[in-house]
Amino acid sequence: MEMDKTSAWAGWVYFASVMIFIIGAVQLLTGFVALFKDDFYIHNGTSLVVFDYSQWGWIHMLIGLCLIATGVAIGAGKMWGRIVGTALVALNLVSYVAFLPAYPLWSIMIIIIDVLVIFALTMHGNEVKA
Amino acid sequence: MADVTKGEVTSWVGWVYFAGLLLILSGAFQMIAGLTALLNDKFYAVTHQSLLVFDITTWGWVHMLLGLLVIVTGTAVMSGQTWSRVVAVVLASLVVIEQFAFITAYPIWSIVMIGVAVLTIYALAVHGGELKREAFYR
Repeated sequence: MEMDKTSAWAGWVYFASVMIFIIGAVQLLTGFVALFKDDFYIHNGTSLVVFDYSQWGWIHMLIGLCLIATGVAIGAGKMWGRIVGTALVALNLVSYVAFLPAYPLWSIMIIIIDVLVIFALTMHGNEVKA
Repeated sequence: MADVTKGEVTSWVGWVYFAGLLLILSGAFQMIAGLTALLNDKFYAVTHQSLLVFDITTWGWVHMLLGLLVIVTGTAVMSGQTWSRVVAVVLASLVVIEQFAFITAYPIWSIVMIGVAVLTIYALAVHGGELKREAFYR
């Protein structure tokens, strides 16, 4: 049990891994809705900050897939996973800030989770390193 | 078994019992949300068209099923089964994603459920290993 020699904080990384997987899945969902069911969103396309719904759809799907892959890598204790993960979560956060008019509730919830994940990765990230 | 004794059992082990109880509570809540969807769907703030996927009846059964699984897993977590912690994290993740999709129907409920599920994942991921050690010493 390598993690016992570090500290209980290593569990934070497993937490981050699971949460990154979840926000990746939610972002995929956001992308699918933007592509196939954009009348679900509150605003019509013209009031978005940048891009239209189909462009947002592809952007969300791309970031979402990368997040899911990174979540798996972090769970496996990969160093690059934590660096890439932090960058991707930051990207995810910015994308949801810009996407906020479309569906504020989703954006607010995701932004809160993002901050938690960044905290877990930056404060306790190096403790899982074998 | 030898490595089980390594590491400390801190007072944080209580987090795992906390997670077990939260799971049972959130499972019960899922079932209430499911029953509401099946028996009194006027309670929800939406028309059927504005749900993301499924209709309200299908959601009712999804909630009921997930709620039942979560309650069973919660009781297993309380008794310190290792498999139950893995299953619990998977189920709690499902709850988060499911509630994101259902958030239109009753936003406040969904927000509370997402918060509870994230707290559960935290408790199990960060403090889960300690219950195993405690069971060893007992």
